Amino acid sequence: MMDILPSILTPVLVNCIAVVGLYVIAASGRISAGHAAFFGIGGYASGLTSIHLAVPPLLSVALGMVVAALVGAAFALIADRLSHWFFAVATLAFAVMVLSLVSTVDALGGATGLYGIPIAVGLGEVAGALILAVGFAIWLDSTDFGRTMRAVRDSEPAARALAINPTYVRCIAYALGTGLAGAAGGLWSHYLGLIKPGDMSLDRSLLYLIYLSIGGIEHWIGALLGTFLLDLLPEFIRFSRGYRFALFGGLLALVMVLRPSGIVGRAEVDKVKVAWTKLRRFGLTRRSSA
Amino acid sequence: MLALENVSASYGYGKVIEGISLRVNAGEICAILGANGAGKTSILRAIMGFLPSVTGSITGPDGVRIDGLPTHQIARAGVGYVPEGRGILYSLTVRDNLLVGAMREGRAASLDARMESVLRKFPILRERLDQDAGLLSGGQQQMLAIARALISAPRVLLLDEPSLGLAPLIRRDIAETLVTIKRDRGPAVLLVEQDVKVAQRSADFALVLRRGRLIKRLDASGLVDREGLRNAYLGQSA
Amino acid sequence: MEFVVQQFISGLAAGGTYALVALGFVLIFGVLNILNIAHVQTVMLAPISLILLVNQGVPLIVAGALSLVATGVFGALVFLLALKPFVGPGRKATYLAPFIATFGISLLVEHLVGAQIGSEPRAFPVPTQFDLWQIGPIYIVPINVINLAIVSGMLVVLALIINRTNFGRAMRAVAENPEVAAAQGISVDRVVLLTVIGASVFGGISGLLFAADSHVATAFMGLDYGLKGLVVMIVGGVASPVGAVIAGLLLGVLESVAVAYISSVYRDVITFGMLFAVLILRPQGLLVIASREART
Repeated sequence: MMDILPSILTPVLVNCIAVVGLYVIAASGRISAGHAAFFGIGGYASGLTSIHLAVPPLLSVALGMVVAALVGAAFALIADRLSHWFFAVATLAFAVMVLSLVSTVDALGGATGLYGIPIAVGLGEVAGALILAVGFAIWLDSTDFGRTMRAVRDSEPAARALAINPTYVRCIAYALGTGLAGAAGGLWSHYLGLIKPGDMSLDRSLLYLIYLSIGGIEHWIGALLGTFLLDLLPEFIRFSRGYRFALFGGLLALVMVLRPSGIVGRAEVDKVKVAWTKLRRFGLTRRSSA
Repeated sequence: MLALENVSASYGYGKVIEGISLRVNAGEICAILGANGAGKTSILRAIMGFLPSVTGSITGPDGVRIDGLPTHQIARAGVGYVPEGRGILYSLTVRDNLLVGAMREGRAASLDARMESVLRKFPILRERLDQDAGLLSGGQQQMLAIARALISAPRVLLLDEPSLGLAPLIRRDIAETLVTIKRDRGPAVLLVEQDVKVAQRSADFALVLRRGRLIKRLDASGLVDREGLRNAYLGQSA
Repeated sequence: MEFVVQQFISGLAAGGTYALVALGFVLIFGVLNILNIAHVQTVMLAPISLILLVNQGVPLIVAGALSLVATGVFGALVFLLALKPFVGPGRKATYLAPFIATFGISLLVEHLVGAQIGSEPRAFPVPTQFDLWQIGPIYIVPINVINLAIVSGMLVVLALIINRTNFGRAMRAVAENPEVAAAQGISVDRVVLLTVIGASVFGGISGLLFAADSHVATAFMGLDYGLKGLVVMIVGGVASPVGAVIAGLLLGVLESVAVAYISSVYRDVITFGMLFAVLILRPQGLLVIASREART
């Protein structure tokens, strides 16, 4: 069992990184329905630099992240004026376009994919990267920019009145999110040694959205919870692929209708925080009076 | 006729109006006066069924209870509503706005006759029948809003600050229009107004609202008495 | 030269059908102010149910009518179960949630059908084989002309309904200001339900047209065509039916010409390229209608 644990766990952790990126995007008020496109862009970019420029693997993963972030920023800038529904449609259209482009360009390996990427990443590296990603998300939430993102999400007019430029904030947030997806893609390509168009499929994009929405769109814990819960589910319950997606789709609709904020909502997290603070304070007063 | 008995309403937190009881008969105009935020608009919205939680009883035309009914059924029961800011459908033509108003009645039968009678009352609209309503001036839009409410011969008419933002001359026109309405068909009219002069011109009696409660009733003579009116508004001992 | 004309006509036919899909979205978004992604599946449900019915021996015309009924019912169910709970006074909702729910419903329907009938394309019964018509040196594929005729007919009917009937006026009133509409005695719920059903039937008809043109239907055609309809909607200016028609025709013709002269591979690039170009050059869309603030 311990032997196959890495091979089961690593894909899940890679997906976690990407979904944390999706959470960052959602924190600024945007839904991305084509997130896997950036997973693929990062994967291909880092794969290419590894193969053709003989760049050390970790550096090429970073390069993949940067490329994905830049493309994301450009896209977000162009599509910014769309309100959130239509922005989501634009991300979908973008993802479809990127997918069909990548499938046909021979230099990228065409429909079969890009092979020959040096395998340099294992469970350890991915886990480390995930810890970094989560740490980044936690840090981001605590900064002024994190609060600004939420302000833009909750009320754009109010944010503007505070001299915040929503376009700037959303583009940066989008770039950060797609950068994380790109990093995940880069890690993935160096884990398997290859990356193919199927890795940036629409299915994958929608899975990411499902994981985040069910897990809890308001908090990074939701991103992790949703991904772990749903990505590991097929391991325990053998589905045929079609029913798996149908089930997830139905589950998503059900959760959105019954509990819109997902499993982990801000209210729950706040309750835990308050309880934790109370516990600590209790501990302190006990100590001082003793 | 319109009767409210012990009506209270809230938007989810604290009550915005409380214990409101009033009665307006056909052919009467009752003005509701009060400072900003006193809850005047909320009374009208509560009658129209826009507020989520309303207690107490509201009786409309023919003695039918209308509290708790969905808005469109309240409208079909014979209640006309001219909201604050006129509520004109800007992208529709003047004619279409009027036709939408006529839907309250349902039957197309007397439509032409009703159109005619409304256009006779508001001749300015006849000239602009096929224009987009958004192109009308403020005063004309207000006329359109009132005409739209009248076209289905409502037995109860609610008006929310019809003179808001309009020039003094137009305000006088509106007051005149209200008097004409009273003379002609005589729905029971509930008029929310900030402009006391409009109320003075047209209303038979007035109720003063303060912080969600009705604190004073003024009859016609009381309306004209400036001192008493100021006291009622500002809450000094009458 | 003749080739260009042929391509142009087939482009118009395809474009008109895209416009039908887009119109379904425009109508639903207009009265409901929610973008209903699940609507894309109406494009798939009609042809697939027609195929299933025909395989059971149901005559073609009857199967066609029944498939549209099924599509209308689907649209109504999605509205009643997943969207209506979020609309109306006094309801609180995380505003992104109903939209995300529609993604889930779309997936659910798509994969349920896919699991049942497989992902292979299914043959779509085309009534008869028409010979090519000939006007001078130009050969015209009759199915394109029929397609165009049907689309034009439906557009005319829609325009008449919206502009001349009481229901159309009620629709426009609800789209602009549901509160005022209700105060005029209009049952907003009923108007929205009927609009959703109508829009779903539009989607179903466009699905039938797509399937008739390509002779196949797949379980996954909903998102393919639906996404194009959505892009057309955005390019046309979101709230504007006329804009949707113009944008649809434009996309159809551009696609047709590109496929002929460049490569069929770049079809999707055309779609996104058009969206891209409009976003940069004329962000408000091709046509703008003054409407509720909440829109793009």
